[in-house]
Amino acid sequence: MIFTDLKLRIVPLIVLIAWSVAYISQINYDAWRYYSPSVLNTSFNEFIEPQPLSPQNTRLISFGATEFAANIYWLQLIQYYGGGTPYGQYRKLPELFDTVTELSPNFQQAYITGLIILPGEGFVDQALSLGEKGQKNLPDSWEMPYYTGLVYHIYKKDYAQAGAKFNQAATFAGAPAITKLFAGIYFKEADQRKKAYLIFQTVVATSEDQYIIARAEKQLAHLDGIFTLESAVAKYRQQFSVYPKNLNQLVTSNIIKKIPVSPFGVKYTYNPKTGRIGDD
Amino acid sequence: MLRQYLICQSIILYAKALSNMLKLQKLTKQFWLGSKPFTAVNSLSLEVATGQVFGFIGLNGAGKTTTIKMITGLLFPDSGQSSWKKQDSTSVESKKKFGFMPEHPQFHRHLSATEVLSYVGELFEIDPTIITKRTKVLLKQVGLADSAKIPVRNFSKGMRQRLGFAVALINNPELLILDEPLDGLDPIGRAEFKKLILEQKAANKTIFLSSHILSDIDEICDQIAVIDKGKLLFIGSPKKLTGGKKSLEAAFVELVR
Amino acid sequence: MKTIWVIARNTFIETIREKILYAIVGFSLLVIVASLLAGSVSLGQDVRVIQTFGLTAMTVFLLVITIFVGSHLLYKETEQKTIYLTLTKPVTRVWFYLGKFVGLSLVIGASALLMGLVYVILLWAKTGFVAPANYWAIGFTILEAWLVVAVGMMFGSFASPISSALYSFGLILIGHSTTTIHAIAQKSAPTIRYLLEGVYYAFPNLEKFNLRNEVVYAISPNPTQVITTLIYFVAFTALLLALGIAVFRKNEF
Repeated sequence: MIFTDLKLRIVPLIVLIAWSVAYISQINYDAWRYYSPSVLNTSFNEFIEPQPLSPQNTRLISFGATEFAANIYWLQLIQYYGGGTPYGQYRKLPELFDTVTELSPNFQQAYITGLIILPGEGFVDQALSLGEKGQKNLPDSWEMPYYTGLVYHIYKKDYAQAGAKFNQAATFAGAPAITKLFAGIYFKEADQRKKAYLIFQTVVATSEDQYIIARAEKQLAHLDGIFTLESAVAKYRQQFSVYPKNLNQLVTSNIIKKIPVSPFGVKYTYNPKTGRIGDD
Repeated sequence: MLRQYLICQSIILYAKALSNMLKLQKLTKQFWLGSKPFTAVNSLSLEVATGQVFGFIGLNGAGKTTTIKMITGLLFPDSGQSSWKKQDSTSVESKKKFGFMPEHPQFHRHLSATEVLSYVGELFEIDPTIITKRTKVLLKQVGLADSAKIPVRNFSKGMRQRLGFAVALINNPELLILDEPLDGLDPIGRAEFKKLILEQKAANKTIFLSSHILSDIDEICDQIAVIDKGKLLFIGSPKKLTGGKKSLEAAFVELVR
Repeated sequence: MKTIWVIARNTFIETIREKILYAIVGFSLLVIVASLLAGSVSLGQDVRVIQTFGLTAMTVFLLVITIFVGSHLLYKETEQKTIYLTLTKPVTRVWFYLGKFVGLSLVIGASALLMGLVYVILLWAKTGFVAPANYWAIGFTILEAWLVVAVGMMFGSFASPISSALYSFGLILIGHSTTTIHAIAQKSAPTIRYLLEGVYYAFPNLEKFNLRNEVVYAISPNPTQVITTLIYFVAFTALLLALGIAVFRKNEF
């Protein structure tokens, strides 16, 4: 009897105490959450960096659902990249791209996104190795060499590599028609003019786009001008054992009739010390 | 002439009765309680003749349910055998002729009484139209006609007992095995159940029922067997046990002590 | 044969009237639909995300139902004593066991079809196209669940429901790690390698039924793969059923 009476009085008491404790802790939480100086000037959520497991471990705990795991990391990557980072650099970005593509080796969009995003965030070498991995895993995709080539061009200024990648990309069906033209331009920029010339010739012979053919023909004419001047300089040197002082001497010494004009309207430059013809 | 013919006929009937019987031969079953063996049924032999109502009497834990489970194949005897018409009583052919009602009948929670009966009927491979017909009759007979569509989980104990009895009758069995059919029923329920059993007796069914309520046994049974601690103490008619003087209860207590 | 079917139908009716089943199936449908949300933040990869999320959710919930019901199936019958109702009728234990297996397989199949239907409608509404690989993946997931039914019932024939659920769960994890186990085995020292290869061949290789990664690339299985997987399924299920029946035949109630 006493016990049941006790119980009746104890239940409201417990409710009251539990509710007060909950209320006080809620106030405490709010005070900390809203009124304390925030860490690193960011909200709590943004402060957490993704901590991807290694691809091997993810594979181990995915129990066969590897594409699912890859997509989880893909979503995490997008949230991370879209959310801003308090460190000034998305330090985990290369690791996330690597994990996603390890788990899902044929995830084309992941490679492309990585090749576009990563170099801009300061991870040029990681982007290039991602591109290599993409080329290995997706040997039929023109996008892999194409976007890798762009990274070589924009961030490495390595035109020879960029040209090689674009030349490779141009061999795949589905690659944009302009790829081959770009490859030629890159080789030209890398001073591999003979190679560039051949590529432009191929473009003229194979392309179906009139604009691209016109551009390639202009490039050919431009290179023709350079080649003419180069051979004239060589002839001059054979005759007089020295390089001409300037390009006009070639005309005055009757080796060529006139200095060719580039169809792009640029003037050919000449270095009298090395005898090199430039176009910038 | 007529007399000879009648004798002949009765001999044939008797032989028929003997051949149509349930026969237990030296059934033995041991359980292990921890590391100690416990003999639930000890070398039990008995015979039930056709048309008899056979009472199987014993205290709680005497081995009644264990014996019935061995007859129906829920338990395997350590030694001995139980047969029906010279066939193993646990075989599919034998079980086709049995109607069985366990001690506290339980049914699948989500089925209604009708569904339970049609399920069991189909297990006996009875024609569906016959099942529907019998279901109606049986449910009316046991007084569940109004609760036919209610899920069995809402049934009271008495209602489950009634449904159990209907289930035992669905295949129009030759042998009815009822384990404590009257246990846990109120007096009115008991009276009704006794009536049901006697109806079956009138329909010439062989009935094997176990009980520890002696007053009921006295009214129903032609033949009784008394079992205690797994051993058969007595087999014969109730009159033989009482000797015509004592009550059955007094005779039973004397026997068991 | 007819008796097996009668028991199977009874099991099916009895199981699909359980409220817990509705709860799990309903929740799984919710999760499959929620893959739309995940798809919407995936930078144009929504089809990919919906496919993997939907199929993974389907598999997980199907296996949850399978483990939960499969390991309880025989226990519930003995615990609630409803097994007396069936086994005392002209039914052998083999028929009873097989009937229970078929009945639960029907429940699993029905749940899977419902989930698969919602998934396919969702995918179709989103993209207007459902690659055949999706149907293959769903079909093979159902086969996997049926195999796990046999696993759960085998454990349920001698262990308590909780332990048999745990054993089944462990077996599923091992079954899906077979690729990893094999890879580790190839790199290990001889003794460990034989041990791991023993594990690899002894446990059911559930990765055979996993076509869910290929769906993203719309790769349908080739006929040889389908036939070998089917043979594997039949053989392993028969093995598990035989083991379960061997134990169940000796059980006393």
